[in-house]
Amino acid sequence: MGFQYLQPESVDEAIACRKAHRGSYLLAGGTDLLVRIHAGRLSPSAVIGLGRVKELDAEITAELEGVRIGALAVLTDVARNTTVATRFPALQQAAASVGSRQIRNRATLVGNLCNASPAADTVPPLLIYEARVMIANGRTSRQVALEEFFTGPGKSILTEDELVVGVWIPYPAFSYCSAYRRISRRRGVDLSLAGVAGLVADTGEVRLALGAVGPKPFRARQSEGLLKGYAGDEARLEAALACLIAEAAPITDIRASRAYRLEMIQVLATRVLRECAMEADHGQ
Amino acid sequence: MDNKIKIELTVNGTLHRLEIASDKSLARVLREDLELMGTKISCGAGECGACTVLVGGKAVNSCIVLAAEVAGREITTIEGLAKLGQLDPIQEAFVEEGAIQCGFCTPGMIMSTKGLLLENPDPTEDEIKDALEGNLCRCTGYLSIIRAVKRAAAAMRRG
Repeated sequence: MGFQYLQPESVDEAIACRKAHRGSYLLAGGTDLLVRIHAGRLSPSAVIGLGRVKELDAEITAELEGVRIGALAVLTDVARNTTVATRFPALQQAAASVGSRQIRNRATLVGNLCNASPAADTVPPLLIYEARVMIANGRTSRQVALEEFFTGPGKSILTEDELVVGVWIPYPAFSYCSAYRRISRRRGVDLSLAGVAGLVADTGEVRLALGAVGPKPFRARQSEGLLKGYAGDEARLEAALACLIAEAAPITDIRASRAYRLEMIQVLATRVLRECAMEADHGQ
Repeated sequence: MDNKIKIELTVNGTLHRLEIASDKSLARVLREDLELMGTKISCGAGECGACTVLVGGKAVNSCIVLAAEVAGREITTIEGLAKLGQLDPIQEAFVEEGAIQCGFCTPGMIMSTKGLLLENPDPTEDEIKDALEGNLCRCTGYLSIIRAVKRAAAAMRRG
């Protein structure tokens, strides 16, 4: 314990702080970082608070072609946003499932991404909506597909002189149904031991993304291929589930065994896909 | 390394000018610098809710918020609820329903309830459970707490 808390007022200042303090950490909501520091799992010399950085905001903006979520937007606001709820329901469900009310009032969506936890609930939904991460370094900015953002547990492509300023979620060009389901030992204040986000489009395209069953959340592209045109067809679902467990690479840890996780992704994927197919049916 | 910073904290309507270690949690500043002992520290990891206070009307775990992060914001603790010697209707309801046994979780339970009723004066039972999912109680079994929240909501709606 014992770190210096710095409060830069611009992206440039924040990056300068990072360079001046090797091994420092960025803090948005702090609900994960401060827990790890208090538990002695991290002992940075400096923590850089992002709350005063003038280029960062907590806005959730519905634009013509998609929704932009600012780096400081907290999960409570993501879960309650009406555009998110109607256009990106899987993200709404995931945001509402993280931690507790108190955690969601502080924790940010972008913080959940930057932690790069394999079990981050908001990631599988953002993967099926093909979200993009907006990254700035003070002089230039770039966008990368979320799928390319993670490199492993706790690791992303973000360099020491970059910050994530927001997430861009484009409206799909087709109509679709989507959902997120997770399983945890108890409902409140617990990490997912498996999570599945699914999307069924009227074009026949199906997207599936899995969390907590590999070194990073990922799209199950082979299973997606087998499900193309899925409309509640059981035989096709069976084949896809067999493929899904081959695509997943869960570990056994304190929360669940590998075998249990493999069972659970089949249960969750079945629920998600049936729900989407049923909803699509009712919609027509 | 000089780790001290000067901050202004508004707690229960009173402005405090403090010089604190920059890495000090809000919970510790409330207890150690302002001697407001109602806010409890139990798990220290955002899991039990005993340290719940309101920041800008929203419930947060003060053990995993730095005091420096919330400088300039309105902070409400359990000590800020009673007005002119009159308990808040939530406090009265917890007493009347026997929703307090050992009492350690009670300040956090009441502050989470306050945060809920500020934005939703007529919550359903499921909404009450959602709002309290981050608060653990090892004595009551929760039923009396849920009854107390309903009773407080009804009393507050009557005015």
